[in-house]
Amino acid sequence: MTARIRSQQEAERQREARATALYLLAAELNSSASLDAMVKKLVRQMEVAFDAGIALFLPDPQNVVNLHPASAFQPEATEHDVPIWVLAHGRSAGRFTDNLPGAAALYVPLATSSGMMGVVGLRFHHGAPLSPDRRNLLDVFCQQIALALDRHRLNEVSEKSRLLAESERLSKTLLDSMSHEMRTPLAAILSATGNLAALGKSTDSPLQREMLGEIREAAQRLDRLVGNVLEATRVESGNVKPKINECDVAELVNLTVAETEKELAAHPLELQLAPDLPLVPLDFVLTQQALSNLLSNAARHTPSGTPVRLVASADQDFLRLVVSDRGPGLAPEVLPRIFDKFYRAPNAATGGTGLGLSLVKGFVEAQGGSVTAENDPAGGLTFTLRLPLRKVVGETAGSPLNSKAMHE
Amino acid sequence: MNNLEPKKPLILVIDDEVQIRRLLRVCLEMNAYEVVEAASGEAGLTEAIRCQPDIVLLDMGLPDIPGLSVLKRLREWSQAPVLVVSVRYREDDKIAALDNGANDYITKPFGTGELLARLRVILRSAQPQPKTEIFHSGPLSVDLTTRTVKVNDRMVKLTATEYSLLLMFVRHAGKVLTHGQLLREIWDMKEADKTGPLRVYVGYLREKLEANPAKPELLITEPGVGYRLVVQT
Repeated sequence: MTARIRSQQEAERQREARATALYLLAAELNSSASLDAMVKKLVRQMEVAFDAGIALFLPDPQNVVNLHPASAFQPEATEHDVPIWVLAHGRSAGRFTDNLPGAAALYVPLATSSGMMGVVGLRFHHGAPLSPDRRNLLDVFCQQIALALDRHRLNEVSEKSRLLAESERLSKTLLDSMSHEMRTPLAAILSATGNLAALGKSTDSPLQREMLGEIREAAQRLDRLVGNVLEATRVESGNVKPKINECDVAELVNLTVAETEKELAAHPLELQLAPDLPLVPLDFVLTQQALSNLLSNAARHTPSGTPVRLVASADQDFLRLVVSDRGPGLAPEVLPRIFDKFYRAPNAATGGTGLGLSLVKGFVEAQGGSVTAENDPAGGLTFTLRLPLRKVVGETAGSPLNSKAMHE
Repeated sequence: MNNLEPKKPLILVIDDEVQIRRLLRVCLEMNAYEVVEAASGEAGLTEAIRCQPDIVLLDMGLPDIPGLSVLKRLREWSQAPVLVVSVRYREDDKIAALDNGANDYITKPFGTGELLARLRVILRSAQPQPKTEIFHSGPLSVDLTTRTVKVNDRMVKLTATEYSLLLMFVRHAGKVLTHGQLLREIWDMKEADKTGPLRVYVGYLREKLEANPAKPELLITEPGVGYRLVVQT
């Protein structure tokens, strides 16, 4: 009788302890702000609830399993790989299990429906096997911890993407106003140095003239960069509204070549215009800028004296403007990235802004065209601009191509 | 100042950037112009009434009222030549300005030489021209009475359309004519984007008039805006 009462009392006491432990755990998991604070508290909770040393193993983004610093023990050298195995297989291992029962600690996976969140290790202070009740309590603990870790992970992800969006918005606004604010003083420097140069042609010493030239060149380069950044922002925000009208390709090509003459001075230009090119519906200014960027790019990245070739041709569907050089070409793994903003190929010549080619892409795609780059088997790099010969109305819903200009 | 000295042309600079105004003043005064500054569109209109400038240099990006509105309001009572200052890729602004009576435009950032050249062309065309029957520019001469066109004294045969196109350029020599202006005048077309015939005929004219049609020196393309017949001396 007394024994029965005592055992009932014992069961009661255990249920109460279990309820208290779970309550405390839930409270901790919900209130802890940072991951580290949460881990520290739950390690303490589990130590009390299971009378054991606790270790926690969490995978990092590269899926390397790390022992959390709040852990009470390190796995023995012989058990070092057990947490990794548990994480990979999603099954318990070590003491009181069928896998490595000789191990000093028990390792239990922390699993949720979205995957493995980590592994908890318990090194019991006494040798008695876990009662089904305690085993059950451990499972509940592990579930709760896994859910909390998952929640934490999701919060982190959404916080990261919120921060990213916010910082992108900020940098765009900053770029926008900076570009405008920078352009005015730059225009002032350019105009002032221009006036000085005109004034002092006969009176300045060679050194003065040289220094003036340096200021001017630096200001021009900065102005080019700022201009390109402005353009890139415009492309990105979808503010490039092409004005498509029928254009004479020969006129476009000739004008572009004439305007890039200075940059191409060190390269013989081989110009090939197919006879009887049709009038092509395109945005004259955007296309001219795209072509001009390709020509400058070829001039800048190839040894002087090597030819640059520009071929214009058309078939039934497309106008093709092909710019090829006889430079060193590019490594195949670099090719897909050269149209990325601010990407600069390794060993690229200095002086570029890393924006020219991304602008080419933006300018032609805004008109429903495309640009590709490939290494020439005979050596050198070939860029191909493709522009549709017919107005494509309604095919590219949502793009600026569909703007009023197309339907006017 | 000497009273016998010819009066300097007065330029009204309407720009909100004080540094740009200062620099323009230095550069223009150095080149025998007189300068009046205005920092906003409203101030510019007031100054225009007060000082009766010979040329207005108007920035299109003003903080108070759009440059185009300043131009339109100015044109309600003044025929003073207007040189518009605009940035690259704002071709629509330039076209609107030219269609609303601006005499020319210049793209920021511009060099001093370019600005002075534009001002000279504007001043010259603003002078009452002696009635000439023959227009000259470099190797080109056009006899407006006999409708004969010569390049380097060699007679050039033009079709009726080619001649009327050339005539329009001659009448506005040195000035940019927009696609829309040319299409309306020559082809009676209202759609400014149907530039096909214009491109073709400019091509024909270049073939007949230019020393190297691929590098025109008389009929210049103003990308996205129109064409200009250059006045060479």
